[in-house]
Amino acid sequence: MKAPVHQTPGRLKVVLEQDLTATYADVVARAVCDTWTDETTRITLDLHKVDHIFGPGLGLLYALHNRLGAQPSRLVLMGVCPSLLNLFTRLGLDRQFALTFRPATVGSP
Amino acid sequence: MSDQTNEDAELLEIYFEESRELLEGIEADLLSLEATPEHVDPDHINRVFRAIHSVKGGAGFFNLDQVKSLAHAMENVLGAIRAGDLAPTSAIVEPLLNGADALTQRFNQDPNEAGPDFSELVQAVEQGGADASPPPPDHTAQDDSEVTAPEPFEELTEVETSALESQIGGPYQLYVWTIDSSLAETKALNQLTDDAGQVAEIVRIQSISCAAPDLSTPSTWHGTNLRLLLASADSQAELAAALQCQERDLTAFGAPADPPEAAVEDEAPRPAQPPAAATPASATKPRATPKSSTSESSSIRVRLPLLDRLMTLAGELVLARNQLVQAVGSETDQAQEASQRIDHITTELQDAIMSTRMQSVGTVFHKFRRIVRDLSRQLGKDVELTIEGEDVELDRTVIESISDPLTHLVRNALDHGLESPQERAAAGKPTTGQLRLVATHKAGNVLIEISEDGRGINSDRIRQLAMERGLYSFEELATMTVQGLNRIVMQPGFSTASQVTDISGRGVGMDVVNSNIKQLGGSVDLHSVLGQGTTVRVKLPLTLAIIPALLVTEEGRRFAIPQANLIELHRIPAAKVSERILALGDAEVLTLRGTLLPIVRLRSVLNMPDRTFVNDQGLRQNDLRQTVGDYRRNSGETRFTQRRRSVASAVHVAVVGAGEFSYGLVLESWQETSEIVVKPLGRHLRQCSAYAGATILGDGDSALILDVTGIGARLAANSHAANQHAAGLRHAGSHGDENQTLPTLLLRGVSGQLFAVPLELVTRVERTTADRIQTVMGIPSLRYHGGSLPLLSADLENATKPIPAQPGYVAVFRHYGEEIGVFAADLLDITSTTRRIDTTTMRRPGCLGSFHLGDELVLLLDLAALASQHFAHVQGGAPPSVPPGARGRVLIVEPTDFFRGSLGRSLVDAGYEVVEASGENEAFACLDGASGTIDAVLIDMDSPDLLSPGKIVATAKAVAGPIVGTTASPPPSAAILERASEAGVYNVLGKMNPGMIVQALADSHPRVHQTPKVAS
Repeated sequence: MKAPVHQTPGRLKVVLEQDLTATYADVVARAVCDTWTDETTRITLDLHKVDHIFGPGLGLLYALHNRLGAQPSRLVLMGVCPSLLNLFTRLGLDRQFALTFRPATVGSP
Repeated sequence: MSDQTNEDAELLEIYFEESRELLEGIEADLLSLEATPEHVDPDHINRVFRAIHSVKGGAGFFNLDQVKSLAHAMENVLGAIRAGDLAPTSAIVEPLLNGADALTQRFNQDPNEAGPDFSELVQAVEQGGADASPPPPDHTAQDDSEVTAPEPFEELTEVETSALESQIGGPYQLYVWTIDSSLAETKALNQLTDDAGQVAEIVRIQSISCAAPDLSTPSTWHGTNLRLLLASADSQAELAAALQCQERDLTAFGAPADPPEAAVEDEAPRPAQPPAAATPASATKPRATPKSSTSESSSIRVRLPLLDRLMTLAGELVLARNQLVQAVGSETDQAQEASQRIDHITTELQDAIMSTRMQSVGTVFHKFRRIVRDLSRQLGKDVELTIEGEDVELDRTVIESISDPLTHLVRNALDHGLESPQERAAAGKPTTGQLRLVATHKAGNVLIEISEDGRGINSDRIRQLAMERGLYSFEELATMTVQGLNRIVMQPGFSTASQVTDISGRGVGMDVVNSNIKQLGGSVDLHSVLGQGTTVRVKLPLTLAIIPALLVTEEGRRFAIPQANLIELHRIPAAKVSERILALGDAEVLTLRGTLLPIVRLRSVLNMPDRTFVNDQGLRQNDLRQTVGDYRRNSGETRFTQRRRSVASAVHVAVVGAGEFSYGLVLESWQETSEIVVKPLGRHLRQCSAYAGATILGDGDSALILDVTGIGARLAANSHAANQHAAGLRHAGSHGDENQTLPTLLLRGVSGQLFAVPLELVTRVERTTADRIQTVMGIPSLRYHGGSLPLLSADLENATKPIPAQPGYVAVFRHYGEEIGVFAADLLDITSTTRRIDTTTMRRPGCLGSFHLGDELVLLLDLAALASQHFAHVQGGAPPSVPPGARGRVLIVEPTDFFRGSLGRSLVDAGYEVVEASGENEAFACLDGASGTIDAVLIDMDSPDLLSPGKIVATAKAVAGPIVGTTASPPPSAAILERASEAGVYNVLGKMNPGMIVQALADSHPRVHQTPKVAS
């Protein structure tokens, strides 16, 4: 399992390759920690391959959001499927994260 | 329109109403947060957050995208504040307040209208959040490892409840499903929620996670799971089975639940939920108000028209009760007992229904925090607002009506009253101004005080502006008290602001305040001390519907005086009437504990026919005759009962207060106090300022309710008109070079011409009737004290012509020891004039001169000349006629032309040679140049223009005979006597009484009188 991280100045873009289970959440967390710099102010997660999110996966999103200073829209979730979007909206995460159906394009996070 | 559409419209309306209420409360919370950004009160932020969240939820439901996006943006910022990520500084709170305003505005519009575009506001709110500084360092951060205690689920809103009812289609129950951590790791959360949505309605979802999960510490975020609030018609067991979860993870909403994880709080204890089989109505109970679960059982929504209807019925019940109590007054004990119980119950019912209409004044006050905050920033002023008495309750209609007036007062206080910090510092005041809003109960009324410690009202400036704008004449302004001047600011269009701003200065505010409060039956008073501040006191009735009142009668008709306006009642015994009630001009006053209280007769206010007559003795008496031919001789009554009551009978005076202005209302009699139901007057009677409404009495009769304020305004106007003359005289005097006062009696002649008589000459004033005047041998006379008093007419042209047969007044004066009367049609006033008297234009025998009073010319009568001219035969005490100058030479030292001329003419007529001096230098010149030729000196003691009367007197004593001081206002005051004593003058006489002066000269200088010089 891996979580490819694309890095541009101040930004990280992580393409998630499977559902966000507890194990995969750890992989993503490690990948982000490894590429994190002091300049990092925004993280984009491409979720277009993610259909399900588990408890630790949701916890990961909170942790990323917290790492980004808990500022609104610093964590960008792209390619969010309707089921996840429904969950995030119900949880009010659409206020904290930037959510979109559109998948991310590498190079333009 | 289909039922569904109707239902939607109704839901939308409920949502708008609910949102308005939610938004009403958040402003105060936001301002509180802003006041202490370093310490965020969780109660305040939670309340605001929930309100905005509810607004957003409903907006999403009804597809109000603009509202939703704005609420969403606000929620983001509020969420960050709640999480401690943002400090609620002004930069953050300002856009939030603006957003709340915009939302409120939208919810005040028609729900079906397209709402405004909130894009800019959304941007501003987001920008505020983005630009905000992180929370202050002393903010207590939560431990990263601490698991967030989940907020208790919020109560359901009405919209949500209605939606659930329609979706489930029957009774339902609310459950909280806490997803176990192990389940959250093995089953996708979105799948769990999707599945739950299939078997129940998901009302809310919460995540349970640690407060600040650390990315590098998985344990802090691995424990994240969910709690769901579900609505279902199924039982707990059935739902647990459908959800494939443990039954223990599912708890009824409102019941204590087992914490799913350590340190996780569940719902606060709530009242037990009704069983699932409850009716739909009971199923809606969990929502109620969002504030607290305890309030849901103690408050319900009631439509205002229903409350109004209840209030009307309560009023009718009170009327019926009154009738019943009156009807059974003489019945059996049982009937009386039942009547008393109904009386008691009705009173309680009325109180209870009235209380449903009562609202705390805080609902109006709370908005002033925002207004003061915004305006003080806009004006660059530091203002500290203190609010007291927010719990004081007022009737709903009063509450609704005072909002605008109070807003005007607060804006005025900020804009005009309080100074800038620089000005305050220069004045030695603290740079922060104080603004206080205080509501208190006072004698059945509510008193609201708006006070500030600002610059106060400059009454001189008001006087100047009022004169410039032609609102009042100088004469009127001169007589006004400082508080009266201050009240001018309540007149339409009057403003002391030199600059019109968008806050105030257009002169509309205080006028609106005054008229609105008066419409409510209240009053406004303004107290200001220059340099110290201004206090506006607004007095309001608790309710406008049912009020206690005193029933009074006049001419057999009944009227009601609101108890709130009553101060005290006085019955003045017949023997005390003449002593206690005095006439000043055309106004009457009551002496009350050492003060003079203006009184007005209700009969004259209401223009009731004057049923009195003047008897043979000149006394006014009540006329008890019903018709002209009714002499009450054939009624079979005893002679005693036939006697007409005279005006000397007891007088009933109700002392009433209209704001700070109190006066006496003279009534025929008063009855009992009673609670009356105020009924509005018909439109054709609404312009009558004397009436505030009408009511139906216990016997079914109707009575008009007197408007004490309206009657008071008339009285004030009348009093003002009566005092206008005196004011005019004072004013004119201040502009002339003649600043001495001459007390005069103002008369109106039969021809309508105004005349003035020096008051010092008048010994008595008689009211007379035509039949007391007789004309014999061409000389009119008055039957007077058993003799005849020769009469002059005040009309110069007809001085001794037959006086027309009409009632009038006779001013009696003495002329050389004999009494003579001056007849006038009317007696107007006694006043002191300093007005310049024109001694040339109208000067003629019998007329000393003239002056203007308002638009009317007043002729000043020369009584001595008139008497000498027409009644030479009565001058028994006059010195024998001698050639001019035969009695000696008199120096008159008098700076005033009028008095100098008047004295001079009188002395010349009496046989003296007169030398006049208008000042010190002239006096010394006369004395030096006429050494040994001055036989007597008359020296003015009134005028400060004579700087050294003592020196003049000393010089005069060396060269002349007697020295007599003169004053225009005899008897001389203590100050004048002291001045005369210092100068060495021991006889001070009235200037307008030449007879006494001549007599004094003769007595003190016999040589002059007995050995008159022969004129060359």
